Amino acid sequence: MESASVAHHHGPPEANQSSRIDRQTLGILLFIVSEIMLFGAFFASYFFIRVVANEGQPWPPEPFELPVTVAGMNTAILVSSSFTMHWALESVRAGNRRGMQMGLVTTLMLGATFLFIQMNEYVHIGFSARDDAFGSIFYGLTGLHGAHVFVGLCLLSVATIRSFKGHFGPKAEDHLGVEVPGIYWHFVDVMWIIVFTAVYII
Amino acid sequence: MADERPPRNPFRNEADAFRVLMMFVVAGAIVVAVTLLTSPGVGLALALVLLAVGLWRAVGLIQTWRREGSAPRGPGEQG
Repeated sequence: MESASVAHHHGPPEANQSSRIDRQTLGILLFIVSEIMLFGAFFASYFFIRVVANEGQPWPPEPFELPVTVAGMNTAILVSSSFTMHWALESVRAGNRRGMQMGLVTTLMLGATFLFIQMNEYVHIGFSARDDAFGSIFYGLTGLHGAHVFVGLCLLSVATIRSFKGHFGPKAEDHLGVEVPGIYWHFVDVMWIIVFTAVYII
Repeated sequence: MADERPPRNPFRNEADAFRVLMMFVVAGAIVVAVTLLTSPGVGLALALVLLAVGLWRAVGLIQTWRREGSAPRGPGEQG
């Protein structure tokens, strides 16, 4: 019996699963946890500089000033892009190809706008990463997030091109290429809310 | 009557990830409003409280996944 089943088995053997959490969940969980640790290291540095090294001086230290209004507008743009991403996913689930394409294109444009405004902010902000520990940690945190937005835009570009080539369908297994970038995009958005609140507001 | 829906997993479903994002948007808005109305210290304290609540909920969710498995309707499986 066993030899017969082995004879009919095609492809590699089933991977051993020692965890009670399924593989897909464990994989994305480990990825998100590693990302949280990466951002956590930067936040630890930020709060160390702010609380311990700054010794009760005003924050941000003189003469640094942060463009809170511009960053707030940028936050609104990035949050809006998550709504359009959600719209794209809802559209593909409903079989609305046009809606999915429009949602992806809009998300891509909003994400690119966010990145453009952030680069413009860097140009006009008046200090660089070499100016004091504050400059280093500001560019480190916002730059790390910007890199994640860039990766998200690359993923979204691939999804958008594929959507115009007729890929993806309403069934879940037919639109994984949109769903996974969507989850990543929302994660990037969550991280920005934390970065914005910690760096620009608090 | 007990809620028999499977535990939601934001790592497997975009719609659930979007729900988590909305929670962060609301929490962030509350922290921003409190900070602007009071002081950065109060805002920071509130942010830490919200962070602790979020971590507590996340740990509870992970324990539920370990006990019952995560939502079976992940991106690769839902119909």
